[in-house]
Amino acid sequence: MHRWVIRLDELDEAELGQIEIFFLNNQGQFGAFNFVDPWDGTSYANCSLAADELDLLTTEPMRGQTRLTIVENRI
Amino acid sequence: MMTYPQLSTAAFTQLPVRKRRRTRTVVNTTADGRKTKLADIPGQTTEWQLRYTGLSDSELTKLQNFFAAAGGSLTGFTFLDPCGNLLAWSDDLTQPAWQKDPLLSVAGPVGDPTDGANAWHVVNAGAGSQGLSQTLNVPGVYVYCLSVYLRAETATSVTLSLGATKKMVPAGSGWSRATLSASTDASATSVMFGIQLPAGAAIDLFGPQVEPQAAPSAYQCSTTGGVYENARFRDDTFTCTTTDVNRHSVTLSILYANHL
Repeated sequence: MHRWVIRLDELDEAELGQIEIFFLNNQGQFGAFNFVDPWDGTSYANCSLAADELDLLTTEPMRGQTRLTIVENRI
Repeated sequence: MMTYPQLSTAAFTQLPVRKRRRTRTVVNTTADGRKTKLADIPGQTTEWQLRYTGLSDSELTKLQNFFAAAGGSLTGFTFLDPCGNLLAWSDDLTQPAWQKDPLLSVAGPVGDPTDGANAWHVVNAGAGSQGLSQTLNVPGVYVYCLSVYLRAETATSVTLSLGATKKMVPAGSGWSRATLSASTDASATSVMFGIQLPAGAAIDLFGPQVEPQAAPSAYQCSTTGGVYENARFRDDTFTCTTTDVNRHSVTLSILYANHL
């Protein structure tokens, strides 16, 4: 099974907000979604967030950061 | 209900600010590794860590007095998300959160200035001014910034409303962001934020946003809105560090739990 750790820096407020809404729409690790592997473009149909916690840090205007871990679910 | 205080600069917090969302999922993992999950929506919490530096004596006193009035974590208060859009359903003007006048029609979504499709075509078919608005349970004494992106095939002007304060802004063929920053009636416990169109006007509208500060930040889409009633201090201790004459540092954590 695959697992991706995605670190996002230099996000503006809108991008940070989109990540937050994505997390809430999925109810943390509850939801499942398609994920395209950024390394090779392969689409994985049944993935979830790995955790029920999302940390959003804004250090300066237009400079936010967060980190997501995505796991492929066993069918 | 008490509301978390704004600083003398009209800001709610200073950067950096940390926001932590937590959800709760019940997970049953079987012996072969498969998982059965159940979302526990009421178990959701949101926490903000607010770090202040360079506070003046009066700003520190304001925070201390508010902390004392709340009794630390004992009493709930209204907290306005400093990292978000106070309006609900900012990308969907058909939601009931929006109060629309009867002769105003909303169609969409249509193309927006960020190359997405989250804008709306709004037409006033009436003979008088018509508008759409949201009324939020927030104190009138605070400074708010209402912002929205506007475009119109036929140039017109629309009116932004923030409580009793109104401002006419032009809408032309290209997208432009209109803003209105003001406080309103100091005794008000709710404030109406709205956009009025003159008779016969048709505009495209995108990204309505209200923030508890004097100037707009980048647009953030919202669904639930950023007004958290019955938030609480996470801790019962208020610690401040005085770094110079009339300069203080404080870190506070605010917690909002859906189930409380």
